[in-house]
Amino acid sequence: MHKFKLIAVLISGCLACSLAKAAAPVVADDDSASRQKLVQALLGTGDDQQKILNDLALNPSKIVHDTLLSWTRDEIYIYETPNAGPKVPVLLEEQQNADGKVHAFRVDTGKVLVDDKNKELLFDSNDLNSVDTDMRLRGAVQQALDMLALADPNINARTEAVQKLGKSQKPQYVPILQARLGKESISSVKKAINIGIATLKLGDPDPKVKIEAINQLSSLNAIGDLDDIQKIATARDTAPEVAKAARAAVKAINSYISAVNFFGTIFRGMSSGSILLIVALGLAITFGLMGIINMAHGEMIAIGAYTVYVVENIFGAGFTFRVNLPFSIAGHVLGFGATIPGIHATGWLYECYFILAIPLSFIISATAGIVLERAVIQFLYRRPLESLLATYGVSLFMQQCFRLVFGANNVQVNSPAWLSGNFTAFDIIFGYNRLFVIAFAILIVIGTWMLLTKTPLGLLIRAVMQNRDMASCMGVPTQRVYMLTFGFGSGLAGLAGAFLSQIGNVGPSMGQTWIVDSFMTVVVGGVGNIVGTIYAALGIGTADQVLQQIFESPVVGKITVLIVIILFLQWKPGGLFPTRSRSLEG
Amino acid sequence: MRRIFTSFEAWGVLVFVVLALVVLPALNSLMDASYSAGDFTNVAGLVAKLNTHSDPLSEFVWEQISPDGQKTIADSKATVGEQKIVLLDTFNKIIQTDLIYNDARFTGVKLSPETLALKLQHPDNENLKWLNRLLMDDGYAGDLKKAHYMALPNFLQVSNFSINLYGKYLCYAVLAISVDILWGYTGLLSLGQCLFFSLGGYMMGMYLMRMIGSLGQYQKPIPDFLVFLGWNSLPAFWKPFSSFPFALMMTLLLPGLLSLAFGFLAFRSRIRGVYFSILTQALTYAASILFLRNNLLLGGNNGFTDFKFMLGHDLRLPATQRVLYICTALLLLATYLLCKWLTTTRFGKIQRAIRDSENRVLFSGYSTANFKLFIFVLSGLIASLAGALYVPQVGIINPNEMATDKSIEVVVWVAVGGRGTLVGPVIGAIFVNALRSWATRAYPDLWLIILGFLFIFVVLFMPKGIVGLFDQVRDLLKGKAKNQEPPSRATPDLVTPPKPATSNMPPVKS
Repeated sequence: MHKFKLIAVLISGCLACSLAKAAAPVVADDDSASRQKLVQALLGTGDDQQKILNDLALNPSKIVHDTLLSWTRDEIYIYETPNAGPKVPVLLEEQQNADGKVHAFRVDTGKVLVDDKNKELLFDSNDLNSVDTDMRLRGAVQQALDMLALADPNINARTEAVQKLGKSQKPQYVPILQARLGKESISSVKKAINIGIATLKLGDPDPKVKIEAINQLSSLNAIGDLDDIQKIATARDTAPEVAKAARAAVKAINSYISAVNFFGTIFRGMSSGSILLIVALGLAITFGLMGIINMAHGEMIAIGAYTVYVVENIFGAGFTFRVNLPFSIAGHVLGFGATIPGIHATGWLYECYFILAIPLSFIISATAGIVLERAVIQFLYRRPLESLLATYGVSLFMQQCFRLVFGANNVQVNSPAWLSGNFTAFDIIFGYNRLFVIAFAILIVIGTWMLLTKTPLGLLIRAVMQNRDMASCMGVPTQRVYMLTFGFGSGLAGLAGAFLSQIGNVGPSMGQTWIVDSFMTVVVGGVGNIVGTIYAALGIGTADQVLQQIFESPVVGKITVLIVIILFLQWKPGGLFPTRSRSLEG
Repeated sequence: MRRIFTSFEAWGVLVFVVLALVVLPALNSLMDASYSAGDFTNVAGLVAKLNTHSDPLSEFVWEQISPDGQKTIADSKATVGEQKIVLLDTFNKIIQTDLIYNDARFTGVKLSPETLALKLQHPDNENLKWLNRLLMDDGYAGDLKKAHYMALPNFLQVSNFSINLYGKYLCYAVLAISVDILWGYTGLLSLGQCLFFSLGGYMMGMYLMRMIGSLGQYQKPIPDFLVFLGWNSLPAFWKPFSSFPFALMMTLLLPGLLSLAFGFLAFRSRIRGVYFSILTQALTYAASILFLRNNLLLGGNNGFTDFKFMLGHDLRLPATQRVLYICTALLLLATYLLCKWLTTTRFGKIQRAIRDSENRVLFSGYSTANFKLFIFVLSGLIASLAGALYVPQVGIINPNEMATDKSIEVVVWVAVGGRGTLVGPVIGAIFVNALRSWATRAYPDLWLIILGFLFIFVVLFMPKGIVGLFDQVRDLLKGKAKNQEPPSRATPDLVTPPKPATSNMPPVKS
């Protein structure tokens, strides 16, 4: 339900944007006073020009904004009326006529430029000179535009404008910002304005004003101003009480930053722990419930990821592949290939591909798992070390198949629009895809729990796990149960792969990067215990992120995590929740 | 005297010694046309001829000498040794290029019948080197020791490339033995033996990097990658590696200590079976990503390469490679004998008992952790020595050698050959690597598929490996034969009690 709401919002947003796009320079017929002023500014010089520009900036209107924008882009030209007549600033039409000439529109009236005989004048692109603008003038026009932007209807544009003015180090903007504060209604922009005012006041020579500004910034947690305040605190010529206030402010802002980092790390830890959880859950089921070490688990993940890639291509331009074997009969190279035509979907239909791809990856990976179980694994149940070797062989085989079919390079999978982007709260960035993976992991855990506890199959699985032979004596079809369990575990791996395709690379050896981590998670959690796997995954994910923050290097963090796990296993060799069994061999 | 070998095994060892240690190197040296230091009998005469370079042959030779070398030859104060080195380098360089003969160059040179005969054959490759060698020998008849060319049939020709390849295979065989004494004999599957192999390789590699001296790309006395990273002088821990005994000691010390620490922690807490394997895999994975970092100052992801000298001998000369090959074969022999002897002692029995049922051994009062620790350290040391000999022959060591998939491949070699025996790993290592050399040339796209199938096939259908193949086939045939026999008349029925077997126990006094 929520997905459709989101899509409806997207559709209406897109429609609104398309309607609002203007094609040609809009020439309004009102605001003649503003127009006259604009002409005065364009033809004026020096201080006069500056003053007129300031006046214009305080009277926001669309025509002023558009004309000033054209000015900065050198799109305003001067037409010198013949016989030493007045100079007329004009805008040139965009559309050229059949001869390559264009009309000109007068800035002061907005109408087409005509000569004294009322005939419309046509110009070549090189006939007229643009208005003389030097760097200082350009800066002044840009500032006028910035001040106009303070009233822009778009929140982000307003915030950006406020920040720009705040960093400009020109105290004359303080009253302008304060005036805007009175008219502003959005609290985030108000906060930005306050920060901007305080930043400008930092440059004030009066120490009292400075201290007030520093305290203001500190209470508003202005991270962007930290460097400036730091400079004030350490500069040699600051007054002692100012320096003291600055130091206190630096401390306060730093502690805010570490709080932000802390929560940000926790969030990222949760999300990377969720990824690890999704990846390791399938392995926990096959390893824990069945005692099979499946080194091909990584390849099941890759199957899921490649499924998403194929589905995306089918929704787009189609998918083809061709595998050529190095044999040939009668000069004809043996090989096989297939082409699936694409449906060339666009817009929201195309964005839905991911929703279709998810169940499809589950199904295909589960099928692959079942095939693997029937072909190879079913002979290796009581021999865990041999299952390791045989499944490693399968993994090599599958990796090479991926290379032959999809190519040895990583393939590109585009994220749907509703998964990209993020929102920021309290300066912490919450990415949509990270939130999605956390939600996804929760869904999967609940689904697995329901499968294991509420369904008849789950009951059989638990029975077979506890004592295979006894269950078999009681009439449970153990072969079939193992097959379905292995399929389910592989399907989970496929789901993990579908998700990993959105956040990581998709290539033939993508599974290998996750194998060691997932085994570690399962072993730390305690083999045979799903809850243990959950704790272990979240713990390892968070520890990884935290150590990454501390050591500022992902590699050293990872190595530390591995060493900590090795030491942890000394203390608790069975993992967090060891399976208690009366057998001596464990 | 306790019988260590069966007669079959004894014959096998003898064949190996003769073939690998004597025949192959001899064939290779017969094929080797390179000059060695002892071939220059009259250095002074050669130097004089080259300095004046009046005849066309000497002019040609003089042009081939490097500018530094020309300075040494022209220098009357240079020692005979220095000049010999220059001559050695130059002459070897000359014979390796294209055919040096043309009428103008060799006017006035009397060619021996051997040379003329070979010239008529228009040889190529190795034989071309021989022709060049003979021509040079004729050109400086009095000053060089004449070499004699022996035309060997194709199948007896052992090229330098082959000797190098065999040396590599034998290093792998030693590594496979180290895995087998852990897995086949003690029941511990270690997926991290490549870590010790690589560590030994790195230690030897550091020594070899120091031996490059100032001949690297940057012409500085410190290794190239350090210059690239911005170092001006050698870091402290690199300095002692210029001595070979120290490097050798470190090859044994570092992997030994690491395996001691890890094994102690692992076995003390009774980590067994699958968990142990996964832990070793995690250890090697952690090490491989650690060694990829540049700030470890061990070459980063490029590792060490471009070795030039070892113990004063040029590594690029075929003679040095021959000696390395012989050393590897000797190492394999020594390892095999040591492990064989170990399996016949009481220690070996306990080892196999641990494999079969560790709990019973524990109940019998043995501290199995100590036995396992000893074997773990021993196999780490063996792997490390194999790595140390591997590096000068292959010429490169990088963190890829520590990767987890390499370690699992070693386990497959053992499985293919037959675990639980000592010959099995050797056969398996050589077989699989030979297969790889062939497949990566013939069907490079399919090699991994072949390897994967090999894993699956061996695990499912050949549990005893190649060594056990003979027995397996025999049992299969016997089973078939048994099914075809008519049922025996003398089926025991339930009424008549079976005849008791004769026992060695004394009769019970009733």
